[in-house]
Amino acid sequence: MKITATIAIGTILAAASSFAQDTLVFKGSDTLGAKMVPQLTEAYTAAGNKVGFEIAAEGSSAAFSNLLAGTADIGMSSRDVKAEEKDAFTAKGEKLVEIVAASDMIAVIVNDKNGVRDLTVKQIEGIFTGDITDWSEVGGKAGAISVYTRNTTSGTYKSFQEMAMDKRDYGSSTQKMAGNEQIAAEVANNPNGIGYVGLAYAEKDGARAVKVAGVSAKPKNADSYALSRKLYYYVIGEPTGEAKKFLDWATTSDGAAKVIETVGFIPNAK
Amino acid sequence: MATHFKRKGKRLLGIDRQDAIKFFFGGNAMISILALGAICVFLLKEAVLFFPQHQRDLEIFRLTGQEYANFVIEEMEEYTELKSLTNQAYYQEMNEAYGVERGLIDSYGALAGSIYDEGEDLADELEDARDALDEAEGEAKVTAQGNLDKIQKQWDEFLKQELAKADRAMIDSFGRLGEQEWQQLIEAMLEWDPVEDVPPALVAEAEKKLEQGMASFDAARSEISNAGSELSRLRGELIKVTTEIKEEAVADMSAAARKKALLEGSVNAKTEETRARLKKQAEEITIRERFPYAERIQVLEGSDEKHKVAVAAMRTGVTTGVAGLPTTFGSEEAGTLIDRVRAKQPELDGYLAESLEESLNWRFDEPVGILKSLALFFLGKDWVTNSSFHDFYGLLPLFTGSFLISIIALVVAIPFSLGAAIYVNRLAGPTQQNIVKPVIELIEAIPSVVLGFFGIIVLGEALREVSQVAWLSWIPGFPMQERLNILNAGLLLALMAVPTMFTLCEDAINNVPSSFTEASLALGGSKLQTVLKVVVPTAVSGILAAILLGFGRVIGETMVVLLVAGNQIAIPDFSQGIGVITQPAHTMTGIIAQEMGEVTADTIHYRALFSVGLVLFTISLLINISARRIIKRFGHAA
Repeated sequence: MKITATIAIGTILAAASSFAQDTLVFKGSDTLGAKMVPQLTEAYTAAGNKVGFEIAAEGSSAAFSNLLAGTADIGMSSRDVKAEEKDAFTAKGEKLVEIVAASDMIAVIVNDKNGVRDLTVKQIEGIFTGDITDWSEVGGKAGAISVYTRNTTSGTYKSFQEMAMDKRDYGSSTQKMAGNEQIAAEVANNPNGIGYVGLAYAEKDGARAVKVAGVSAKPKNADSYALSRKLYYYVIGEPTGEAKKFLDWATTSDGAAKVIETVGFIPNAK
Repeated sequence: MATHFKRKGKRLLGIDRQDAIKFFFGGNAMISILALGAICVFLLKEAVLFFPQHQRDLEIFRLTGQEYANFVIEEMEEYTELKSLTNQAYYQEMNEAYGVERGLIDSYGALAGSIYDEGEDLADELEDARDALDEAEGEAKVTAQGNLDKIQKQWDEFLKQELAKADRAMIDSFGRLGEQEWQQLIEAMLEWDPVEDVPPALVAEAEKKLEQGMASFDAARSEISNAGSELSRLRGELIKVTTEIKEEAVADMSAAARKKALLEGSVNAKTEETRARLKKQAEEITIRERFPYAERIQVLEGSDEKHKVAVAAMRTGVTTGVAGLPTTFGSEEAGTLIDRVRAKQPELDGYLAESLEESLNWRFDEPVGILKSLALFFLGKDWVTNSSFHDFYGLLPLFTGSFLISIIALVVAIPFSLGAAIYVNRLAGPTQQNIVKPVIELIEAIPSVVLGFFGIIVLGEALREVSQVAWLSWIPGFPMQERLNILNAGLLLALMAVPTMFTLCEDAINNVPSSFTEASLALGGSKLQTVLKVVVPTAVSGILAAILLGFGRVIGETMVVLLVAGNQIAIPDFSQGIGVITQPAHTMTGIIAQEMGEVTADTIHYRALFSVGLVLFTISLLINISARRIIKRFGHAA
């Protein structure tokens, strides 16, 4: 199911001209494509740049398949490229260039009514692998833990497994949700719920982010927080023309940094 | 038939107009049949190819020693359950018997943490000032002292402010402290020093009391917790080495494809430079005839010995730990939990012995039969994909989910659709008929994705709210924790099945010859008697067929179950009895919709999804065939 994808598909046209103009096609990660990139492109056009954008957010894997098929100019990914994906580009004689877009921190959220405020990485691993099944085991009030995760298509699913779960498999009692928003909604509705979401989604009414190993999920803690990762743009060959102009702006300018911050990610350090 | 029409007009290629019309319709029917045939062949081909591929996958699972690691993984899982129960009991007991002490300790931690977060810079300054004073000599000492006093004062002021605005609900998040204890803590905290970070006497006392009170329980719990450390280490080690072997083996298998890709690239590349680079890379890849499993598996040598030791340690550790658990508890729940631990311990002991025995007889080069591939698919209890260890394709959890949801949908839909059909056909007046029938049939027009959203936001929330009501807690499964669950999905599917079943039931009842009812009424039977004793028994074959087709309708439904069933890939816990229906589940249709988008064509995962599709197709086919049979066999009696 790609609800988020269809919702996120939007073409933003430069207001000034309706003539033929370059269109940059973005495809890939839901984490980047749902909020950050659309808002970046909006700010970019507002700053007077005349270029069209088309954005489709279908999961990180789509970034590479679309780049390869020539149906995207810029791929968005919340994980770095896999070896076999790289092979496919190699086979075509193309070089894949990686550009760090921003950093993301995965927030672990619990219901507001839950008294647990701090979890260690080991405890998080236990909860998501199914070793820990009751809140009382991590210092909370007794109650079976309901674990909400992204589904297997998601880049976050894998990233979280690597960052928080020592690469172990998710427990069989975990419930697989289609997107960040659904996880936040279920956790906000279930006093015994726990889930993980991108920082941009942690501010949901009824849910709150817990500290991980004593560090709260705040942008200023990006380096010390255990569950943080980088987000990438991928292009074929060193970027040129409009793509280069946009990517330079999006990764280095102050305006872009502001946008990235407002959607809850952390802009690259200067 | 054509003789009824007068043949006239021109002929084209010997075909006149009538023939053309006939061929047009005949052709359409033919295309439908061909398309259906093509779908069947495609589905069957992809699905059947899964089994040899699965067999190969299981063979690699064995050859790489991952299967051996899996023994340890499963042993750890069994043990973790027992450990988890003990921990739950321990904390229950602690919360109930030493709630205030825990409140003091936790609140102190939270308070100190938040103050430190806010005043980190000031605390650093304070520390620097103290260091400066220590190092200063002579004249400088006075300035340093003055500086320190100033900062110390600032800190005291800051601390006072912070404590005054401390958010009690946030700090003492479980509300364990009474008003008096909270005030005492705040007062004691006024003396708190961020550099030394020593807990106030009040907290230290609480820590001591808690420690002493729980000492014997804690000792037993630690004994149980430590019993698994050896095996846990072995598990990590085995997963690591066997996964490495597997990765190597897989890379080896794909080496040929990689080489081909590089060579292709070296022809297609745009610049001479890349062409040369790719070619060089391609040449570096050597393709081995067969991966040397026997050689690589030798890293597992000695694992048997380690495994024996670890299992023995676990068995003795758990046995002594469980024996050392207290027998009286302040908390009733803790008592029940420990009873479960005691019951589980011999079970675990037996399981460990058996599993160890099995692992000792395990051989990496024992061939895997196709039967095992079939059995693990149809009877496998795990469906794990995109795993970093090994993917499992077991149908059972998905099948159970689909089946439970469909049963609930039917149980709810049968009385409604049958009742409505009897009412509309036999009891209602023409006006009522004209309203009820179209309205029921209109339900079918609701898109299932809309129903799904309704299920999440309205029905799910309402069910959960109702289940929280205290005097309803006797109902099995109440209060329900999840709003996305089997019951919710079943109810929505019932709604979707009602129109189909209603229409078919109504047809069946309508087909009862009027002479039957007239005879019954003439003999003095009442309207209700006629319906229940004559009409329904006569129409029973049609009603049965309607139910079967309704079942076919719900088991194939995708969108609603994907959104509402909760997507938990595990066989629901039947120990709750009928309450099982308030648990989340995943379904055969849901898994295909959820995972098909990400899989690469021709991989085992892709084929596994096709096999699930084939199972669904077979079920639908069987249902349709039996519905036809029933009508054929009993239908003409009416």
